[in-house]
Amino acid sequence: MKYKEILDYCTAEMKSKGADKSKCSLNLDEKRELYFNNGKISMFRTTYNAKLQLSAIIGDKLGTTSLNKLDKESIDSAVEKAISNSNASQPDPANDISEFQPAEDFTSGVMAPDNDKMYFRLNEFLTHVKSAYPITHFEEGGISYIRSNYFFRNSNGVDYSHDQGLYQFMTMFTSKKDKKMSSFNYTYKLMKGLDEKLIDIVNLKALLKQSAEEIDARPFNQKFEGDIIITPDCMGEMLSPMLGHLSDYSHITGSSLLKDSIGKKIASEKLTLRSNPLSDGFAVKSFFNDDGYKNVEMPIVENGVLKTFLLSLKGSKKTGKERALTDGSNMSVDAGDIKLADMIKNTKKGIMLARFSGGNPNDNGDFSGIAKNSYYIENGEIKYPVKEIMVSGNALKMLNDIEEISRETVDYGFCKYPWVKIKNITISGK
Amino acid sequence: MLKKDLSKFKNEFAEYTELRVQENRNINITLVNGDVMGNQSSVSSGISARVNKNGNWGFASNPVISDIEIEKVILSATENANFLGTKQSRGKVTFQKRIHKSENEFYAKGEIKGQSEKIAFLKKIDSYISEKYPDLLSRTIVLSALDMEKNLITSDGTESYSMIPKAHIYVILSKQSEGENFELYKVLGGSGQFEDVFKKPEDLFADIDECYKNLIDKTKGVHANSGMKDVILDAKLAGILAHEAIGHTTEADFVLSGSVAADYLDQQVASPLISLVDFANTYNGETCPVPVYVDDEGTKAEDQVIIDKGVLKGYMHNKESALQLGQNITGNARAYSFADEPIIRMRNTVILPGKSKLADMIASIEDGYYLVQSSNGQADSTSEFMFGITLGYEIRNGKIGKAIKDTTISGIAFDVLKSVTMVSDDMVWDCSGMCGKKQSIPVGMGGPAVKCKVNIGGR
Repeated sequence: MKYKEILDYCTAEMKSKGADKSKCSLNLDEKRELYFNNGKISMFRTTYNAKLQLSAIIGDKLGTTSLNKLDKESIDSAVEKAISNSNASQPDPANDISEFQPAEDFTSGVMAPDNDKMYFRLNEFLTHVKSAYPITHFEEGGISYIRSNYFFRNSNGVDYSHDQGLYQFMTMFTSKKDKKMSSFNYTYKLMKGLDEKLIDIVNLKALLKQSAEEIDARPFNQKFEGDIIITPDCMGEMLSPMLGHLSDYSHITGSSLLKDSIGKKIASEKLTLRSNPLSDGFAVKSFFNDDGYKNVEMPIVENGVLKTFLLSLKGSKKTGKERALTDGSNMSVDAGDIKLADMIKNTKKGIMLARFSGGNPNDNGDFSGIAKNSYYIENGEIKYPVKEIMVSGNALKMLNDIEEISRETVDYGFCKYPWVKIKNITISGK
Repeated sequence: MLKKDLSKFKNEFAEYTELRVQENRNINITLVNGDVMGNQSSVSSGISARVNKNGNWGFASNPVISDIEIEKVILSATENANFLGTKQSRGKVTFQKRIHKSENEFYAKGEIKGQSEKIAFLKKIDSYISEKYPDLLSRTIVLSALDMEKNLITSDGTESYSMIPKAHIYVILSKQSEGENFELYKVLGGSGQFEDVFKKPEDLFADIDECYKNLIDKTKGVHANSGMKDVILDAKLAGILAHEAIGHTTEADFVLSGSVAADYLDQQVASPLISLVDFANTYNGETCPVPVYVDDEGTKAEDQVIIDKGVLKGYMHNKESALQLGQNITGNARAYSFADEPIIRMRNTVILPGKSKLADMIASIEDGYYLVQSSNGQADSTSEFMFGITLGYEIRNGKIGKAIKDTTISGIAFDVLKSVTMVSDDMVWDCSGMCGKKQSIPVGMGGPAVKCKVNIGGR
């Protein structure tokens, strides 16, 4: 059977075995990876995989199964499993599928890998950094080509597919001289092609400079309320707790602190956070979500005002609130109007936070953790790299304490962030 | 059962080759406030081969398990090594080998329960909580079970088969108090299939009662005073200390890339009270939570002493790192799925028990904290670590005081271990977590309660 025929077959079989509603997805993955460790390319890997996921709803009871086999015997067995899981479950009227929408097939990205160019770019990178960053060890990383062909079908006739190809680069590194060493750090990017030298992507040069300088990092013996400049490398982690309060789980359990905040100001008016699932500006795209609805581009927070929760179809039905029109992919924060250099000049006392290693924030958004790969700033100047520094604050409150957002942004291929300065963060040394 | 005779494929091995057939089976059921929010079973299986030729690795995998596809995968892996060989030569390598033939499976002895019986089991737990504790904001119960079944043959001569299961139930309770939300969770279960681990719901009620009591303590809790403090890390935290803070720095791939442990071999890195071992499969005659008999490179797994009475004695290796450092292979190369290559991973990493009693340890602290439960943890190549703390208590004048709100502790692991002055005589194992280094994988960890100094976050 061809791939779409497999989904047709599964839909028909689940219906014949009693499913009132059903949905199926099939993801075919091809991956090629050139991997390095200790600065040397060591492995070339080719992998293929498939994931067929079947969900059946019988009398409002939902059962789901997944497998990575596409032969008829395995598929028949999976259909039986989805039906038996459904029969074993409990009824919930919130179990539902998306309504009919016209069929569409989407294609994006680069459709065939260039093995030789992958090797060329990675070897070029490792050769360059060996001489340009002599005290930095490149522990592991690599460049991959990922082709993903995704098909979605439900019993209301929704029929989407998305064929997507992209490259991915990741590197992890630590600096060491004699017995002085830095924390490890890493970065990665999703890419549409291999035209750019890998050393020039994202914020990598700044991270490597910081890593080398960090071997002389110092602790400080003080505790104060100051500013933190969150770098783009750290921004996703700092936004994550707020996004958690927009998700299904926090709304269904009633623990979301933002549950009554649609249309209300939850952050500084300087903050606009967008989801750009269809944007050509990103290497990856997401044309439709896991429920089988097409995504739209939209702000999540606009000028500080909350515009949408990130509820799925089930989350929406459980809570009576609106389903999100985006799956929240390809996040970006709008650039501000100040140069990063001026942002630093305006900082009286604080730190530049490039990586955060902390405990999960509690339900109230309180967080604390170690400032990694970070610098101490005083009277408008970066003074020295720091170590053994803890920062603590509240992940929701700090959105209202945004002071400045930089003009400069960094594009990671799946998100794009500027530098953001936040006041009133507790910073404590040993 | 995935057990398959792979010996006929030996003739296909032209170079150093590992051939693995693997199946991972997962069950995930989630109840939120009594409603079934997730109800899924999944199976992922396939074949992979890894080939080394002139120092270059080639790897290939395919989900279709058949003789023809196995031959194709071996050929693809060889071609991938050849592709790298057209670009670079790293020189012919000869790895150490410790071949072994073994079969170890831990299937449940009795009848396997269906999804409906598992959901009914969770519903009984939920009903107990909702009836006894109606003041909760929410209750979430998650069953997560994983079977890992592997069949391996190598050109060296190893042939092994294993089926290693684990099953856990996570109980997450949340409560509002004076406008604030509080949450606490308890993880129950361990190694084995659901039927062996969970006999009846009533067996879990005492632990749930304790979780609720601790949650109520938290609603009356205070912020910790930040700074360097004397603490007792409960035995439930010792495992994460062993794994995150020390274990990762002594994985030989991190050592080769400059981990702080590279400089300390045969040096005193901890109090003489501290001994730390990565057990392969057996401790004191009992099977460890994540037993590894043969690793995924085909090396017979043996225990590795990392710290002996405070002295750093060794690292955890795969074949390549052992060759590069001129040390013995240990059997620490493990892969999560059939499509993953084996990398250096911990197995069952523990701090060995001492001689002190927990009560005496608490009584010895005038002003400090008793830290009982953690959420997440992270380590660094410098050995700086942090753990999120979700349950802890003040210690004032040798007595347990008020609970503290969620916080984070941090420290330089080797400094913290040098500050250890007491180690309890008990031992707690845990295998609920998944280590997330490149690939996620089950690990065992454990240890006793430890008295030491750490930096605690707070106000």
